[in-house]
Amino acid sequence: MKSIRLYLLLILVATLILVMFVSLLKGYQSSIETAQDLFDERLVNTAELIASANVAQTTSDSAQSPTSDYLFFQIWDAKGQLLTRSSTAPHIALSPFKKGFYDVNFNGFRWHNYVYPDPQLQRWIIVGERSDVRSSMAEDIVLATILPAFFGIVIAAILIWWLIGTGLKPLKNLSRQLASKQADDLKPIQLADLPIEMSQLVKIINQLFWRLDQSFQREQRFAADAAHELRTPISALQIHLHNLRQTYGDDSEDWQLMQASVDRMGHLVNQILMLYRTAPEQIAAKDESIDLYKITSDVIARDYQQFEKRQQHVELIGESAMMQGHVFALETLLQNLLNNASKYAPANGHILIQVHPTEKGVRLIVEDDGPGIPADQYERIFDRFYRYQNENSDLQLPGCGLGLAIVQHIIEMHHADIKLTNSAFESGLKVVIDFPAALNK
Amino acid sequence: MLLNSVILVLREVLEAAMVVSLFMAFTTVSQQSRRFLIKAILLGLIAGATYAYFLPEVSNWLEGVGQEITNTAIHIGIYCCLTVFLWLISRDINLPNQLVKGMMMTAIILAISRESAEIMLYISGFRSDHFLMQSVLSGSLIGLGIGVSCGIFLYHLMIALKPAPAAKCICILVVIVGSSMMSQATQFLIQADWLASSNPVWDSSHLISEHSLPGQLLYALMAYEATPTWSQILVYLTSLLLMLIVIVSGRFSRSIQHD
Repeated sequence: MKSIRLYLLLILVATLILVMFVSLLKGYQSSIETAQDLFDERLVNTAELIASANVAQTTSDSAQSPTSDYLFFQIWDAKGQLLTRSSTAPHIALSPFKKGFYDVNFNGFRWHNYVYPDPQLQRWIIVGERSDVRSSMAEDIVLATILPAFFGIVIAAILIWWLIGTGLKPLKNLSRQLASKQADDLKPIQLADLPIEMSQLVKIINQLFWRLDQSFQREQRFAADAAHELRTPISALQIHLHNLRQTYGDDSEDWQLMQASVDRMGHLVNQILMLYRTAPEQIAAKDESIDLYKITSDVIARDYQQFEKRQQHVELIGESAMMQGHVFALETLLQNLLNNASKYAPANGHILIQVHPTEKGVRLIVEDDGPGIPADQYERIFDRFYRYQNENSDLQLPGCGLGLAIVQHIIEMHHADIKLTNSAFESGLKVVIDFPAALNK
Repeated sequence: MLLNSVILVLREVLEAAMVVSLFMAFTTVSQQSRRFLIKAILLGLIAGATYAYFLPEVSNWLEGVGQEITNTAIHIGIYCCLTVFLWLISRDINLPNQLVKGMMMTAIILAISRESAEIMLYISGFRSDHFLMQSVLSGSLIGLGIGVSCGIFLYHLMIALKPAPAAKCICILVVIVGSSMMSQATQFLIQADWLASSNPVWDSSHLISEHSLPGQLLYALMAYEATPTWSQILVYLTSLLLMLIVIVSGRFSRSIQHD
């Protein structure tokens, strides 16, 4: 069912048509019968009138002028001799001399006759009407009552359409309120004059929102606790590991592997917390006016050490680019993109960052001269915990596969578009993000 | 005249509405787009107008029985499409399979083209008589309204059922409608004197008149005749049996494939 309104209209109009038309047919049949009875009565009256108007008992050859083309009469005496007739009538008796109604054919038409015995002058009066004209007249009368029904159905259909629309208004209001809700808006729905049928539905939806809100709050508390509980022992572990290395002066491969594992654990915990914090349900982009160029430059300066360690050339091109957004989230996005670029670009490699204002907002481009990613992997690399491993490369890079999932969250939060292509260098990945200037909530 | 028009138009519209409603319900139950059925309806109307235009010429074929023989061919065509459709779905070949779509579309085009051509020709016969035209149009409108409404009800009745029983009901109704097509084809052959006319086997007009609304509904569903001949009964039952055999053999071959 695509539309309740259309379904109701179709089914109601079909019911209306079926009931109305079947009733019309029944009405038509009985009306036609009544009209025929009336015409029969008129025929009887005509016969009686002719009997009283023609009292001559002699035969007259001259036919009397007819009252109309579809009516005839004959007057016969008791011996069966034609006394007089209308000009439309033949010289032979068109019905047997017995009182009653008869149907006969003559002159190319079907006629409905009435034979009337005149008791005073002992004569037979035969009066007839053309059957097709009688039917036409009857149908004409009945049709006049049927035709308005067709217009009635059209008007009824329009009224039904409008009334269904009015009846479904609370449902429309509910869906409008639900559609306009922000991801983080879990306040109960308030609808005035709610019909009984919908009050239960709204009650259940509001209960669901309440439970969802409670669960988010629990999750937030858990995230905060987890951050505290996990970060502290990992930091302690890193310090103890450093102290042990200092004490024993051992720089064997085992120590290095242990150090790398602890670092990775710390990174993983940080990234998981970041993924959770940047989820659209958890954080909504604020209407804060920011300069993305400045933020980018700050992030590069803050993380410059990691580029310097690998002697990578980082270049920022662009100009001041104002947009609305969430500073913390955008810093996280830049950190993840730059971290990825630095990780995949070779030592002495190049990382190019561009920030420019565009007609619709701001464009951020980050590209490196690393090995790049095949086009068929572009969609998958945004999956959580998915890490693309180049088949031609033996390089085992650290990471947990959450960086681009976090980027995706921040992109959604800012209603931005992200595209991946090949970089302008010989090889490498180019990430193009188009942010809208304003956030349309 | 109004009553005659109602009966004629209702008879034709009900027949086409039955085929369209069953296929619409089948498409809805299969959760597929109904757009191809709309296309088939429009194509059927165009084909109907073309057939109506050439009908006077067609009638003169085969020593004046061209129309009856063409109508017979159309009815046999619809029966064949419905039989292939039943064979495919009983073998679990469902929508959006192109052959299933093709069978459904062809059956609808054939059904609508014949029925709409009859209606167009009937109405156009009263072009010169304005008084009768009013009665004919009113009667046609009533017949059309009742026929389409019955189709809408049938469609909603089918989709109100759960998918599995709905599919079964649709199959059963397709079998009945398909057999009625063959029974009507026999009537046309009798009219054309290609089949010998015989005495009616029974007369049930006192129970259900052919001209009543239930009589018309039964005519559309199973080619109800108050006074059927042996040849009609024989063809009807044979067609019914053949369709049932097709369904059973389709299911049998499906179960063999699965094993």
